[in-house]
Amino acid sequence: MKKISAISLACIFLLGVSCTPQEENDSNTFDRKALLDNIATELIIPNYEQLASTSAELTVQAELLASTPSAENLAATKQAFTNAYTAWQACSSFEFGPAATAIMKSLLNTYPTDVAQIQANIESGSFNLNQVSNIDASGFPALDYLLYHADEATVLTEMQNTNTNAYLLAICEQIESISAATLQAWKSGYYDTFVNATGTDVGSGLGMLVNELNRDFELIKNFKVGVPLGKRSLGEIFPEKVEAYYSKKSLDMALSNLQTIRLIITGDIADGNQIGLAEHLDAVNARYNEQLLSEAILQQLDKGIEAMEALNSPIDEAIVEQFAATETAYNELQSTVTLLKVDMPSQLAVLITYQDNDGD
Amino acid sequence: MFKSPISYLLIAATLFVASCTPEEESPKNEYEIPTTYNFENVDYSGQSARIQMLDSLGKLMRTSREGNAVSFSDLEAIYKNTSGTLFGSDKQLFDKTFEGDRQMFLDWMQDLATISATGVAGEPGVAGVDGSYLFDSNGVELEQVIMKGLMGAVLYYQATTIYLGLDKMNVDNETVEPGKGTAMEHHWDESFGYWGVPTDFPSNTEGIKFFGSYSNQRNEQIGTNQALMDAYLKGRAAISNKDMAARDEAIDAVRANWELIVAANVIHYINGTLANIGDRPTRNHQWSEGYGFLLSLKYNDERKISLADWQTAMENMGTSPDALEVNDPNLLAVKNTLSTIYGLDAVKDIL
Repeated sequence: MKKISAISLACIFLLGVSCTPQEENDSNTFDRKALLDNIATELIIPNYEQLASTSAELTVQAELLASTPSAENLAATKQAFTNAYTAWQACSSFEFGPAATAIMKSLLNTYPTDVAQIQANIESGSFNLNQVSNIDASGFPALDYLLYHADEATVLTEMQNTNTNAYLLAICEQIESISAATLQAWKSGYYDTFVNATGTDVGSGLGMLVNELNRDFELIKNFKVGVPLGKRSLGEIFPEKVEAYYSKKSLDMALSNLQTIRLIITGDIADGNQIGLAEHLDAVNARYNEQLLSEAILQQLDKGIEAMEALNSPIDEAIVEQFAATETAYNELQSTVTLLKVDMPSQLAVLITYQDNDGD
Repeated sequence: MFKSPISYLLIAATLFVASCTPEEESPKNEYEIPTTYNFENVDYSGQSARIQMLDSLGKLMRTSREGNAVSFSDLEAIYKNTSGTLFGSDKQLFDKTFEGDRQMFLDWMQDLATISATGVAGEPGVAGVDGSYLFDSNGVELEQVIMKGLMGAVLYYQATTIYLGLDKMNVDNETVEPGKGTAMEHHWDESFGYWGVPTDFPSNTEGIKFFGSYSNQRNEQIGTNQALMDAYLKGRAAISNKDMAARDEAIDAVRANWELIVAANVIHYINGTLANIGDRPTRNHQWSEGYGFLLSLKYNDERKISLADWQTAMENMGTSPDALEVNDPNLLAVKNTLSTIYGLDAVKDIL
């Protein structure tokens, strides 16, 4: 921030003196590689490392639970699940490169989960988790159901069924293997691809980062909050459609997800060079009315995060008990979308290429 | 983001600089609102095509009134524009229908097709043609329920919930695509396109369709022709002149006036139903139109009527016009609820 602010300051003074519009800015002189390196080295790779290690631990715990369905092992598996699911929230904004190839987000986190399909798979004992039809019967949401849908005694009884614990294990192993493969791909070449794609075009590091950040943010707004809140159903609420419904961790998960998005913008990760999207915006002197666009974005994003933090229960319960507060949170997130999706990309010369809605 | 002392300097610098740069973001305070929808870069051809598709769907279903068998696959082909070439367009009604109700409309089309193929004369309890309409065994005219329902689930839903919703309104308003305007202008135009009126409405009413026509039919009592047109003109001019406060007023006015058209038509058809209570074909036809309009009321997500009141009204409307009584208290309850909510007490009996 310090270094870049000084540069922007210089630019502004120059502009101020000449009084010319800042059409062609120094977007070419900003060191995009430093930005991409900071995000990749300090955020993406460590986050995938965390996901890989927590999901490996989840498999270990699930194996113990399968072999000895005890209360202790169930509690440990639930804890490992929470750790890995939380780690995933810090990765879900990076659905490009290896993660996109693996369709990681769909396989790991499609919700609401299809309980009937899960039960059918368990009953038959024969299933292919890579099949499209099983996308909503696998990943973390399926584990969420298997581990939390009933009281401890019931779940433990179910875990004595070989088909049930085999299904649980298969899902854990799938999560573990996708996570390990994605991490490996980043470490063995994709890092270079990413940081050296320093343009702003489709396929550039910045282009992918900004697109997927936006897509992920809209998924939070629409599916973690909006759909359960009735925003896609003309006001009819569907609390049971929240993420992490059975474990009651929907709010924690959404907040972890939002905090990662915030970090991509600030770039303020302990050991890095502190360069995030905000610094890039400042370097091109991106403004929003009377303030810096980066500040406007962070202010609005923080309003969304604070409004979410103001909910005092999982989102499904908040919708019933604190409807107005939940709607406020949704509206604050909605207001952030414009800044992130319209103002930020245009200032960074990035084109939003994903289709969020069918047009015309 | 660590804020160094230098960033405060920077803020001070930007404030200083602002005094000598042009005010880009502030709206032009004075701009003209035209009296017709003749703006630059307007394109709602997709909406016009869908209006024509809905019209064809209606015409095909209507042939069942003369006892012709209507094939479901023909109805589906129009509803989904299976050929991708209807009216020179690859657009379709199906994928623009409120998602939660798509299957319901397909099921109704299937029922209509099945009934139309029987060739049996209709009477209470027996599906078939009675008078000049085709009814199901409950006396419901599926053609009307489908048409008025789709007007709501496609035209009204898209024009209000979708195109005037935050996702479509909080978009770019800087980059002009030739022929289509900015993203925000285009979304506004698409909403207007679903209304089904000419650009110089209401002085010209030629070719008005669907909600354009139903606004015009009730206009004497509710005055929505000019009010809704004014709202659309105001909003489009506001967007082109970056006047977001005026745009937001116009969004509210469009939603409110369109909703008024829907509500007034429910009351109109309830009146028609009760006035023809002893004439089964006319009564049931009118009831079916009213049912379709009442169903439509829900598709505006910022509607004035609450979801609970709407659900109660649907229950009171019932599912069979053959089961109605003289001065049916349930239908009167719907009428009175709506006239209270929409301030139509003074005109509710002449709608």
